[in-house]
Amino acid sequence: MSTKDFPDTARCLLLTALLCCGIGAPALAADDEAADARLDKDIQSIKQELMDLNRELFVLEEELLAPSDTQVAIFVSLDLGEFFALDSVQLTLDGKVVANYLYTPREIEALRRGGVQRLYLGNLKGGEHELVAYFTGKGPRDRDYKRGATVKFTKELGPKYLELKIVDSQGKQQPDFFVQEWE
Amino acid sequence: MRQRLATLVLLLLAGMHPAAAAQDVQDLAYGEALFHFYQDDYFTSGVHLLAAIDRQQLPHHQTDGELLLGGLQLYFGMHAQARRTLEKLLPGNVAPQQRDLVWFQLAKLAYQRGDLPEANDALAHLSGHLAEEVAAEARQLAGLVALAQGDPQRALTALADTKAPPPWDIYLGFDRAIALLRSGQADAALAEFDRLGTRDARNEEEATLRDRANLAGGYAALRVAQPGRARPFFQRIRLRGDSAHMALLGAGWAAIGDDARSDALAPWTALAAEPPHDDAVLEGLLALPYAYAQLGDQAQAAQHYRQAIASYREERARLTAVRREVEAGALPATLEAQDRPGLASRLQGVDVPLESPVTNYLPQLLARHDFQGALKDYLDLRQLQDNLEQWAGSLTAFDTMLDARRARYAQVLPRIDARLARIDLRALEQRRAALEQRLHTLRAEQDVWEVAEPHERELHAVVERLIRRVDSFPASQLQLNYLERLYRLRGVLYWRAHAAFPQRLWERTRLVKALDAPLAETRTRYQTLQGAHRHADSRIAGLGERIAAQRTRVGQLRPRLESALAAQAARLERLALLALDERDRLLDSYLLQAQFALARVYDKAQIVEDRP
Repeated sequence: MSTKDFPDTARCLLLTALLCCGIGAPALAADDEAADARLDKDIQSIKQELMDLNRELFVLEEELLAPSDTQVAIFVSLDLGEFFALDSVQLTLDGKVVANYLYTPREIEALRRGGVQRLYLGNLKGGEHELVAYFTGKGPRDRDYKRGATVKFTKELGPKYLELKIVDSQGKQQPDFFVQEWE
Repeated sequence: MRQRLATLVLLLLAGMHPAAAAQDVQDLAYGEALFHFYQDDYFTSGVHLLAAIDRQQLPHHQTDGELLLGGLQLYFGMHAQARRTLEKLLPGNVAPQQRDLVWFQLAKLAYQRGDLPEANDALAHLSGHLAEEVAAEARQLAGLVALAQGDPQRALTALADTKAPPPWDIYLGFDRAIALLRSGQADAALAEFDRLGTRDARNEEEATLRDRANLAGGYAALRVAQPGRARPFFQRIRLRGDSAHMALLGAGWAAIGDDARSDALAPWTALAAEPPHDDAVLEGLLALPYAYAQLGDQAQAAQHYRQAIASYREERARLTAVRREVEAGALPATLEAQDRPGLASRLQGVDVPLESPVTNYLPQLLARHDFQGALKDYLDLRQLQDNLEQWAGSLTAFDTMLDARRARYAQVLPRIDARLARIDLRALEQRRAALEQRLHTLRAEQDVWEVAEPHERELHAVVERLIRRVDSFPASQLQLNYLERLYRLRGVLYWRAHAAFPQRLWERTRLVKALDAPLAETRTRYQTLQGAHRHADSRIAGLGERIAAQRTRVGQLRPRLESALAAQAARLERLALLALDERDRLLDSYLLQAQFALARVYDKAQIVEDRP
């Protein structure tokens, strides 16, 4: 055998290396290609229909769980998180605990990058209410840190949105916690 | 790493590089979609965006939301929908950076569809407003389109500037080297590969890319008959990376080509010791005895040829077992189990073979572009099937919730009716009007005593009574003195009450006006309650109809989804069987070559023995 016995394979492998996508795809019959194209189209259509269905069901579920007249939704957002590493949040509404949430690192990262979490969705009668949020985590110099934020708000007809904001205060070198009411 | 790259690409498409500062989110619904997006839960993110767009909840982020939705649809392979979403943005009032992102996504979409002229056309619309990372990807795309159109010179123009944040500079350099190679500039291509293959890697992704640059460089050098230049490329590749087998094979060939045959033994011996699941190892089994034969060691050559023949036969037997498994329908379940370890597969009642002959061949199958695409669609459909089943269960819960609401309404509405009946809103409003009228009269009549303090009114009454009493006494000087003093006292009392009258009247007017707000609120609540009462039945009936409609949709989608899943599973099997056929042919060819070479070694040995 001489080195000339191998060049075909070597060329094949060379192409593989250059394209970096494995071995060349095996040839498909024309019928298979046409069937695959039809299937691809059908799959696209199914995905779209399922996405639309999910949208409908998501909205329907929300209307059933919390009709707009009585709906109250509480969100959590975070900015850079330099002075506070959030571990958990506890929410009380009018003295009753309505949510306890322990965060994963992935969720914290999603919050840090601008994501906003809907922590609670429920119903409230019209009138005055009090929301208290307790934030637990690590504060400056990696010390255990627990802080609360309280807001009194009026629930009127229509949904009520409250955002719990954790913001770094560069001036105080501390985290700030406050609640924003959304119209 | 592929998953990470896919995520990175998606982030870049949306202009949200991980290193970028957190977005200033001004719409809660957009922030919520981002929360899911940044956790790689793209489907939920897309659903939330669709709902938010529908409910007009993105007054500040409408374009951002649609752009992200287009990117997500592209990620899910919904090309037609992604195109519609993105093209809809172009005529609108879109910022230049967002417009460029739309054109870039459209170019990518066209490239994925294989419509190269349209991809070119979309890229031509870019106006230089893309963020650095996305601009780098756009240059790479322009290069790839040109290469796919067989125009390496144009690719070189597109890839002239390889400066970009890592790892995009590596991708750009890599593609530039390929363009140089295809345009016949082998030396420049090797220099570019050399530059990429000697740079420091800061992480696993960069180390892998560096390995691939070295691998491509080494084989490119072999291709242009420069084995001496190929050797350092192969030597730089890590032995634990996915390029290791190809590197060992190439290192041997470079040594042979460079007339250093004994140097081929080490890499090929290492390669031949690996499980023969990929093509490089199969070739290595044949290459090792070839090297011994070249070095004149016929005994070792014969032994390794025999080992190669045995390995090829064993491999063929394994391939037969794999083929049987694939034909029995085990492949989709295996792939699913690999993708989602820990989750039980319910697919067609097939047990999940976490360890099976097929798993050995998964890396090779997964490396194929067509297989990857088909697998992604299959896994997407499986995920959607789970999603559909969850909703099917939720619909039953929705019915229960609606029944509960219906029951509560039935309980509460009569009470509300009774309370509403007790509230005479008109009487309240009439009383308020009467109070206002009274104030008008007081103002007109200057009735200072009506608004005076009780003790003042009492004192005034006492004084009036005393005046009447004293007035009834027989006239005398004493009587006159008393009357004079009492008149003076009455005057003082009146003066005081009169002085306080405007303030007291204003105070009462204010109190009457203060009734307006609670009265208006009561009127609103009354009307709302009346409306809610009136619409309660139709609202509940409407929700019931919507639940029923969605149940019908779920019922219609189920068989379609199952049928598409079965067809996609069959497609994966067909692609796998085609790959196995190809491997079979390769094995046959190697086996034949090994048998032939062994016969020649025996022949040579016979000739030597027969020599006098």
